[in-house]
Amino acid sequence: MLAPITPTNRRGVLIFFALFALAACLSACSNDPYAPEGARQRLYTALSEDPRTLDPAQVSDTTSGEIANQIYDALYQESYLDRPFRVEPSLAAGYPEKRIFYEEAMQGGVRKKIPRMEYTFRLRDDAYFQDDPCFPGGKGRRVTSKDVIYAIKRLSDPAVQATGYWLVAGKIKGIDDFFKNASARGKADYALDIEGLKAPDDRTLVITLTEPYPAFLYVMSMTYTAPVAREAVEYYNAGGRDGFSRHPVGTGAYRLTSWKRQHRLVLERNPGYGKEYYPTTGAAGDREKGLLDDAGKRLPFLDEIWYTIIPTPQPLWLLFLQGYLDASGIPQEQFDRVITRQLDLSDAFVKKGISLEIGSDLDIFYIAFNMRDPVLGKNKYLRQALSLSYDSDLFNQIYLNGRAVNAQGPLPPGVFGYDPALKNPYKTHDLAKARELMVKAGYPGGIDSRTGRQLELTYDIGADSPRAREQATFDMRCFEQLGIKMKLQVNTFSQYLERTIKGTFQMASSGWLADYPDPENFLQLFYGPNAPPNPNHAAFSNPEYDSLYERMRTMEDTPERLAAIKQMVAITIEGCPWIFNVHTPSYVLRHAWYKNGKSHSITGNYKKYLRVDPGARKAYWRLEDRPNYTALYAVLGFLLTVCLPAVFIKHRKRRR
Amino acid sequence: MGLYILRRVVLAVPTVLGVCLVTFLLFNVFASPEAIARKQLGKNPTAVQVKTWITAHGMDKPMFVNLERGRDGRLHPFDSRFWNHMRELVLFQFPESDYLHEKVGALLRVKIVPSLTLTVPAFLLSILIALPLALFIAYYRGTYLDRVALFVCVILMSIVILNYIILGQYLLAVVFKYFPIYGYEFGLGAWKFLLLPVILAVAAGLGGNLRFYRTVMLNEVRADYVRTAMAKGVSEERILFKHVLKNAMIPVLTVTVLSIPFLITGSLLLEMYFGIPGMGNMMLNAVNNHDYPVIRTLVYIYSLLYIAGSILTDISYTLVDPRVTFE
Amino acid sequence: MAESHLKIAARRIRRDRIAKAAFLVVCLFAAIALLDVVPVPRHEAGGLRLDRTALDALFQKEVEKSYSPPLAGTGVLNRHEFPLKSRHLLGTNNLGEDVLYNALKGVRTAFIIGIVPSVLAAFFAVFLGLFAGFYGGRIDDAIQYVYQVLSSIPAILLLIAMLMVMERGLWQLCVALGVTSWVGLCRLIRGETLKVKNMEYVEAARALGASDLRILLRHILPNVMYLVIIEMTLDFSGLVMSEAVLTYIGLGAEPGTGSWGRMLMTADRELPNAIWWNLAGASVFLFLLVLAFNLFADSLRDALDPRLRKD
Repeated sequence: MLAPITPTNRRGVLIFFALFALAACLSACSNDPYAPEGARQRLYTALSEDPRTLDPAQVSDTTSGEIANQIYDALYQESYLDRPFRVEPSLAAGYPEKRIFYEEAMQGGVRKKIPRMEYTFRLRDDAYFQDDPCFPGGKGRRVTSKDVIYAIKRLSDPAVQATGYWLVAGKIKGIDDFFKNASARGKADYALDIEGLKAPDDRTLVITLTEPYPAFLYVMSMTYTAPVAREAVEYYNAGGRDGFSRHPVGTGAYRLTSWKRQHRLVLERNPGYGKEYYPTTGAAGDREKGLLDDAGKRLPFLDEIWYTIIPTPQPLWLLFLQGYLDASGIPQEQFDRVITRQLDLSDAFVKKGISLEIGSDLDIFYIAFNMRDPVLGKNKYLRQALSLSYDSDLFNQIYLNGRAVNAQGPLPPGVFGYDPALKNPYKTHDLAKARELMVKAGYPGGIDSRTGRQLELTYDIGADSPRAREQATFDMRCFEQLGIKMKLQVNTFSQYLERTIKGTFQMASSGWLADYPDPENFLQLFYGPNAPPNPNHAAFSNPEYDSLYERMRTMEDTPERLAAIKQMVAITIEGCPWIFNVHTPSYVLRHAWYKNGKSHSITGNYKKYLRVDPGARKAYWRLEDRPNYTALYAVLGFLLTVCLPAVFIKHRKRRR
Repeated sequence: MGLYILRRVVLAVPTVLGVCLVTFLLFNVFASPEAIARKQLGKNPTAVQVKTWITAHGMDKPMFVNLERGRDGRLHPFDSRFWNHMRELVLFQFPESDYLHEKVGALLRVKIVPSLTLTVPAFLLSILIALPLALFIAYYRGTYLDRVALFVCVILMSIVILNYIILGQYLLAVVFKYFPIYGYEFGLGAWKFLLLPVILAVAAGLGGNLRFYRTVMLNEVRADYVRTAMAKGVSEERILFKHVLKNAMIPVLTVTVLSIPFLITGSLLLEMYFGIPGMGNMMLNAVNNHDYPVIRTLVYIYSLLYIAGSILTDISYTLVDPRVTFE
Repeated sequence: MAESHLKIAARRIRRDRIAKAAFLVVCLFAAIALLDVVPVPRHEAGGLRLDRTALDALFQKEVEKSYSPPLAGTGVLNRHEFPLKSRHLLGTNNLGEDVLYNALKGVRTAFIIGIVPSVLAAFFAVFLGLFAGFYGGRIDDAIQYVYQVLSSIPAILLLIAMLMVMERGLWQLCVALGVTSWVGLCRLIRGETLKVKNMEYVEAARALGASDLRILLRHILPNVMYLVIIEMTLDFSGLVMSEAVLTYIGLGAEPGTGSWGRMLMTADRELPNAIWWNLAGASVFLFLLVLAFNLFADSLRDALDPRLRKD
């Protein structure tokens, strides 16, 4: 029997309408996390943490490098499509003139004729700094050769806390003296000239090297040598301002317009960017992939790049699947679903229009021993035993889905000097042999034969995620098979960088990604003078190795160079400053609307080549991200049926 | 009224100073600067590295009074760790974060808004939902429904908040796609990102809140005036919604102060899980990065908020309970 | 003579069926925790001595390669099926560890975290509460100021600050939790002491020449103990849950100690892959222990409450 709407059950009616309104509101809900973009071309991507710094002299990690590379252009850049990698002009106008001349100088107490190499670079006419309040009138001025000299001087300035001095140390004539002077004073005197860095006029830069160094163009393609405006440094480092490391003023295709810490960083198109065009030639197969469709067009295409800072990997993957991030790697536990046995993309992903690119990162992941540590540094047998106890193949299986290469030495496939037949005798995972070596090392069964105490070693890692801890547990378990006690030291990436730079660790899990595809970039990691704060974190020092290195780096890719490299690799295997772990391949997934993407193992200014198709992206969102309303209505229905008995009971109570 | 507020604020000052003292003791006395430096610098740092770190952080100054002459030749007796610490906090001249290299004050100004947009709606919604439900259950006291409701409350309370968050996000955002799984938008667009965290916050606290409010209501219902009113024929709904509710507000208000800490814990996890760039997120990042300046400042700020909250509660007592005067 | 508190309480509980069931569950968990305390060392060839407990001897299984569902015969790693070395009731996690074993290892941690901080807190609270209530005056003011200040700092933050300063670990966690949770009980004890100290039998004892200490220990302390017991049982479940949360955010027990919070850390990655058993194992154990204790604590509180005199 229908009850009339009385004051008492008016409330019930109100509740019903409220629920209905709620359901209607929820229908308007969407799970789209972005503000509308209007007509702008926007790329959505992610970082795992805020960049440490955007000062080109300080940038040494991939996160900071990713951002700094889009903002700062150097004189040269890596080719985007061509393989093998070529160096091509960016801010420079064409290639430099090279000339070798001989100079009489003292070397080892003997007067000799030493060959020097001189490069003459010319800058483009239309290279400008971005508009910024640090310039008069707010308009960016033209880039001059003096700006490049200023940037290189900053690398040698201890007050700047640069991490790139190793790149030019000993290579440019006069820079070591400048550095010594600066170290003594605590900061550099920019008024002092460096003999090997001359700017005869605003467009010309003459660099004199201490020895012929063919790979020097690579040096000029790194962000460390990108021109820096002195006005910007002085303006932003002045009191009351945020500091130059947070206010980059560059010459690249993009500039930083917004940075909310631990939230999002936004790069926008630099309107004053010079005339750059999409390449017209590429590597084999690029045309078929559609990578040359935009040949000859003016760069950049994207108006905005949104980097959302997502520290945990799980939301990253989910957002990619939902189409809210345009590209992603493949998390280890998803690998089976994404990749088939034949290493193709699985059907589910192909149907969504996602594409896969498999490339080889030029990298090496390793565990470094601190050669300055009293326990590990002098005990070769101990290090070799630890290397033998480690199981790279199992690590590869568990954490990298078996797709990585078990590293036998420091050089990855793809680099001159890599030997696919190389076998490292300390990487055979031979526990019996390892235990024998432990006895030789003075630690039978892991017990110190002199003190009777169990050997304890500390293992540093550079990330505080469950994944990193898991991997560390795996690593430590391998070593514990020798009877050693392992202690884990968890650091954030910044702390870890600090500790490896300062050399305050015993064993550290580490990795190196090539800056440029020359073996020197890997072999310099064992060069004695490159000890911390430079990249030779293990502080390995072997005079034979050092002299081989100095010879090898000035050679072109010849059989003599190959022989020298072979010898150097053998020294690193026997001396065992590292446990070589793996070389990783890169798997990149991209959505259908992400155009012109091509993997690079080396960080660079590649975002300017990218284009997106906003229509395709919006269509994907509409299709994939429609909320599932059936469940909602089912739940609401259930709630209503639960409330009905209550109303019933109430009516019965009233009649009492 | 203004005088009452002023008096409460003045009475709170020694407590605030006490909080500053506690943070000072914790970070300077109970942990030596040496130990903190070594934790930051790693295994076997050289003496020089430790010393540089300590000087950079001002921890080599004397503890309480500085009797040495400074570089300008004059005495600065208040340039000691204790006075610097107090000055930092009390005058709101917050230090710089070790990790983000920004002044904590500037960071806070940006991050306090997202935190508030999460905790305030969660708080209000909790009360708006739990109170009427508690009244509803009080209406059916003694019946089967009441006992079932009580049992359900205990069950809801026994589920740890992590389960709410993990399962909630998975089901509602990932599987059913009602809400964005992660992220935030500053400004008016924030509501989209706050729906799910607020719902989960309310759900996680519902069991405990409901049980407490039910107890409070039942205490009131047993009172004499209710029996009198019912004997006089006033409808039960009217009694519940008008009289009992008002009188129950006092213990309810007490609990609001007690529940502020839960709002803080909850918001730490929710901000981390859903990527809301608020104070809780900053706090957890500071923990992971061993960022002591941020942690000390945040402890102070949260304590201030807590004390402010309890002052507000006291003031609201006077508005709600006519027996409580300004004395 | 009236029956003692405890006898009345015990009788009430025996009549309450839910309380009995909850108590049984708690005892079951306590038995598991005890199993994990009894050492059963095993000597391996080569002189390596492994520290094992009775729980390890009963439930520890060989480590597999990777994930496997509950009661499965094979697991899958990189599209290759691998045979399992034994049957796992709750499956295995990413590192191939038996999920049931991990969950059982968490019980001892839960009990330690549930009890030790309470005991510590009770120590502080009783000591300071009795003194504040009994002596009054300046001592009372001082103690009140101390807990006023401490209670103004939200517990989770004080906890975090303390854990940052100390090393991370189970016992440090106990100390920090104890220090941050004594205030509430202290207030109650102070209040109760104020009430009791003016009772007739106390005045009588004083007239007979009993010293302050004797009065405190023999007359007042027994009357406030019920508050302590109620508080300790009420806090247990909250402490267990906060251990899970703190370990989840990285502040709790170090790796190597069993912890349900650690098992939950990987849950969000696993769910989209339909790997539910890790989350389920940790959650169910945690839920059952907390629920049982909540129900038991409620009954105990009602039983011990002297106001509920009707029997």
